[in-house]
Amino acid sequence: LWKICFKQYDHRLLMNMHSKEQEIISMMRVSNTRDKGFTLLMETYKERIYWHIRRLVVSHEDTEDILQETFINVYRYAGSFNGKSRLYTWLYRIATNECIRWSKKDKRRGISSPVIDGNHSQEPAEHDMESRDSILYKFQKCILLLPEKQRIVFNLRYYDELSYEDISEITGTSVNSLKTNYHYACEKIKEMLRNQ
Amino acid sequence: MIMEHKNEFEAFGKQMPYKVPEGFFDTVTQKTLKLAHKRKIQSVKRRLNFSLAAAASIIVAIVGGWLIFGETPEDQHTAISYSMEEIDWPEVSENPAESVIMDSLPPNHAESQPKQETLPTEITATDNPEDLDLLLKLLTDEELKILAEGLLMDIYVDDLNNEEI
Repeated sequence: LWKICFKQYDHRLLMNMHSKEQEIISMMRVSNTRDKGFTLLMETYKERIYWHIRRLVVSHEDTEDILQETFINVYRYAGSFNGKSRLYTWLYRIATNECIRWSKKDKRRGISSPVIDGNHSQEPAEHDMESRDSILYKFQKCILLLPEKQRIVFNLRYYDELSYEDISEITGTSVNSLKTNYHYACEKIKEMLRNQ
Repeated sequence: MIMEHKNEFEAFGKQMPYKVPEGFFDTVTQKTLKLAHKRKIQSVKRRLNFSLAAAASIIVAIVGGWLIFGETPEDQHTAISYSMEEIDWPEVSENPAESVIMDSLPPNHAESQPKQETLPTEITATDNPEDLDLLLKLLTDEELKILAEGLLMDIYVDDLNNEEI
């Protein structure tokens, strides 16, 4: 009975989410209500997208820039959103692509970034962390040492709790490949934690 | 397998060790909206500038093309005839041999040459063939030639007059 109730609740939540997404999209497609729709969109997803970006680029300043770029792209191209995928997967996809673009740009400038190569120099700085949370610090350090793809998959699966189907839409990778990536990422993190 | 991994990392939870500046999430929406508007205006301006530049280039290309290639054959003919009139053509002798000699002479040669005798304005007609022979002997080759040309012209004019009649 508990399972049925939970499923019903989950289904209702999903329907509500769908209707909210539809409302946002329809508002953003009309020029008179675009700003209102955009505000509603940001209020709904800004924190989720912020943390997704922050986990990939670490620095708050860079995260803010990428977050703004992501939502500006949504504002510009809301009319071209075909509705085949969910709105939040589209947002995650744009944000992930912006992170990759940002890290490539930094790489061209000679700054290595955690998104691309998991360089040690870009691991979270002490001043940017809460010193009391040394366990969390260690855990983040291990995640940042993962290869780019495994790090993205791990973050989306572990922190954002997205389904493999959703992650597949975001990254454009097959579900089986994502499962393998996630498994390897977990194994590597465990090994790194053991060695610390 | 996934549940297993989740349990393994349970100790770490979902919390992040990063700090977010206070009030960041309260202001970021309006900041982003302002930036989006700014970008939109910039984009419109850029598009407008591009359109203006494209239009100006097309106009310049059309005007340039018209100036270079746009003249009609009549215009070209008129232009050539005008230019022909404007050119101060040097007097060239009809005799090719003489022309070559004239060309090879120094520029001041003509001035140093004694002036040719002018043609008698009126040649008295005579019925006596001996007198005519004598007169022809007295004339230089040049004078004779001019006389011949004059006679030919008279005939031509007469012929034309006859045709008209």
